Amino acid sequence: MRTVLATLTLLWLAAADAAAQAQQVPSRPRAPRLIANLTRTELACRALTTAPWAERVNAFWEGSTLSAALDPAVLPFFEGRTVDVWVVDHKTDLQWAAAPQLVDVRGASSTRTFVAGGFAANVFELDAGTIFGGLDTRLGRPLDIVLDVDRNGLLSSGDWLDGDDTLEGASVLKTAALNGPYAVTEQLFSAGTWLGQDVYYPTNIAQLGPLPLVVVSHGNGHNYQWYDHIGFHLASWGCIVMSHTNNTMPGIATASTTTLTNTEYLLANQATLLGGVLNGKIDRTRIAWVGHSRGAEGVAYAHTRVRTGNFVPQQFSLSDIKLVSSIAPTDFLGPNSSAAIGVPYSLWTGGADADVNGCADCDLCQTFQLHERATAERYSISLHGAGHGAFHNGATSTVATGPCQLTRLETHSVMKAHLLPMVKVHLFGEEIARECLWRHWSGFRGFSLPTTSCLVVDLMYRPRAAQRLVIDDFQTNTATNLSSSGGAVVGTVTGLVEALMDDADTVFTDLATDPMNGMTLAGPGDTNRGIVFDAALGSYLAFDLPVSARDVRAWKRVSLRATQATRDPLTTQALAEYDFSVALVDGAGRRAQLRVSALSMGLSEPYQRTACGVGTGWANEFETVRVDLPALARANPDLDLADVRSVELVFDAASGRIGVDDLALEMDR
Amino acid sequence: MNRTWMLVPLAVVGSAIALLATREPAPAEVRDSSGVKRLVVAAPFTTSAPFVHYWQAEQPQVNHGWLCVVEADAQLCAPKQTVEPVLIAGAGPVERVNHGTLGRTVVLVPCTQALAVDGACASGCKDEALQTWWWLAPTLPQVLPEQLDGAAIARARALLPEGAVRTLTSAELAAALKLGGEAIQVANETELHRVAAAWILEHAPEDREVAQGLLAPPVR
Repeated sequence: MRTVLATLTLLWLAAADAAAQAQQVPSRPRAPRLIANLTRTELACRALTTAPWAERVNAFWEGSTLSAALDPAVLPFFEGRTVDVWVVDHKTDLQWAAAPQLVDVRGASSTRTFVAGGFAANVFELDAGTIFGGLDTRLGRPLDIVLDVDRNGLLSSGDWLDGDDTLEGASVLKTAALNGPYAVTEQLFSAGTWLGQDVYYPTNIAQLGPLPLVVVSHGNGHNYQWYDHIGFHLASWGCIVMSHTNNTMPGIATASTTTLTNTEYLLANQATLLGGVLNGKIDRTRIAWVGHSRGAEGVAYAHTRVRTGNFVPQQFSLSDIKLVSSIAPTDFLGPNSSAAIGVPYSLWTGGADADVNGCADCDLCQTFQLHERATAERYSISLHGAGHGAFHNGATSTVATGPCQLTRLETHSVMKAHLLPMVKVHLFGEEIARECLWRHWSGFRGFSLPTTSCLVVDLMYRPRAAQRLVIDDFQTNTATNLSSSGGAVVGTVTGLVEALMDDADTVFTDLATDPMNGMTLAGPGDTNRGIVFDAALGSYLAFDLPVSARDVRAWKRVSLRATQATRDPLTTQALAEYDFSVALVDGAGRRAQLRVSALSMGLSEPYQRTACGVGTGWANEFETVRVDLPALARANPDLDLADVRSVELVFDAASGRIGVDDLALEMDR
Repeated sequence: MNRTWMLVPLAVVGSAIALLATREPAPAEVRDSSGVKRLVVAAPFTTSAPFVHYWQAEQPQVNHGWLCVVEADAQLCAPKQTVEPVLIAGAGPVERVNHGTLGRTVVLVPCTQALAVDGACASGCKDEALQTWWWLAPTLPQVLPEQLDGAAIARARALLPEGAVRTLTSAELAAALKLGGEAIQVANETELHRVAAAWILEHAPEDREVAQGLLAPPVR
């Protein structure tokens, strides 16, 4: 009978699809529930030892604990109820309808009786780290979590499910810093001047379908054979990687030309190159450009040239470039040229870089400017102690200065662990890997990474516009008492300045005349603004929400990016991560407040590098802090999430001089 | 791992090495404040197919010029991602095939006056083009070679202090040319770079990987 029902449902769906197509409906209507009375809810979480007791996340490293939580105070149906809990491989709705049998990946289901005592009493461990991530090339093993209420071993009416038709409830991630399952072949050839290529691909490529292409464009004085760590790593996970000779010495335009011509050459000649081994195996609709240094600016400019029609590719189109990634880029060409517009963009910055050094006296040495100009999803990773040459594997200097320097091997481990999820999100559509790109390492550090305390990683992340509601990005309504979304801004912090995020002089010396000291996010012609202020202990800054934004129930995170201001006495007074709180206040004046440290987040001390003026501490390093909104709300169960009037930043842990930007409400996936 | 190298065109490399083996000792080094110490070796070249000289804004087509090894201040030669000084021969930027971290850079000095016809250099491209050498310091708004046009170079040249230009004596130039031997006649820029690669291996072995890249096996 069940089979018959499933078949009928499939037929109904097919008919609905046909009808939708006939009406030229652009997207398929959401499939109806195929199993009656099935409730979807979030269960997976990272357990915390103190309030808020858990953080809703979906990614878990292989070997780490997977937990779940449910609040019987919100769902009284569960209080006192015993259910079977299943952790199963993810299925789509159609797959569930066709095969509702539950098969636990742990070997057996577990039993859970929910008790009185609210959320805190109902956070429970599902797995201590035994779930295998699998042997395939996916980074994550997608899982669903089922509360089998009737305990019949089937996903059936009345059960609860953490999982979606397209998105898993949780995922166990393989170790991103380690090679993937494929053996890799490397081949080197030259097709003429500036057409030297070093190509990496899975050795068993003949048995595989089309694979995405990652193009690596080296920097000035670097060599295209210096990127084995990227080539072997990404190819072992199912990419074709091509590193090419890059004409960087004349400048950025010539470098961009070689990025473009080498991409074109490989695509155009795949039938004959290397005996035709790549023929039909390159998916030209999934291309990433990764550049280093001048080559890093070159890849951004290459995208601009295609976007503006300055270069018309014959083998691919603009939309085929799915990711542009710049490692320690220069910024010779400025806002009109070196800008990734409409394409996901990622930036890498080495705190100890002695070449593209980030000092206030050199605008073309400030990496963050390219990141700030990117208009689509964007990511930034900063590594304290990484030198300019540490990002390649040539047997030359790491071109580093400053304390606590990372070795090339340490730097490469981090590169592998960060670049792979980036590629998995944007070239393979593995959404779950995105968590690797924004979650703070202190709470979500992968395995097989350096254990040195010198490894400090700061991340910035901004999702695409459709996934965020900006409260204040300081780009409009430039009065300090008015947010860009039109709400009032009030508070007790002092000396608040809203301005271009560009150090006004040529040094990082702490001077009263330069409130934006240490800011290197904007250069000549840039327009990105932010705020900086002195936060005395107990001070706050409140941003009113516009009427249309007061119902926050649909949002998943309160997000902002912030930094400690380098060399300021309020920063140097304590060489430590800076903690603060985020609060929501509703129309009745009720407030929920949470320290960001409770979610393993905080603002790093600036990298303790000297020079560039007097004092210690390098450029201000913004970090994105994304607070789990339900976790924040648990601080006050009476808070009305349908009527939140303001978001507050409360400096209740320590005084400090703080820069802030991009306060927003955001979705995860 | 399966690194596959195809056969290097041994004939090209072999002839270049044979050329180098016949060289005589270099003349004594002359020091000045130009940052250019001496012209070690120079040989005229022609290519059957012209190629673009990307090192100046005008991007002229070139099919003849000189392949040279210049000994210079190592600090000026060292690679940087940010602003590098630009090496000028006469009035035009040269193409630096390698950086020359230890102070020897292999360069192509293009004759940008006119394309050669049937292998014969047009008038205006005399060996005297190699007589003066100088570094264009990064003080102009156009700091990258691809941004520099002839007018900007001329302005920079006019502002140079005394002693900032290395002028070779006729004897020095003649010695370098004698050491370079016969003219290099190759099909195209790629073949020219392969000859340059052999010179890199000889004179700037620290840039071995640059040479290896230029000598990478050609596609079949």
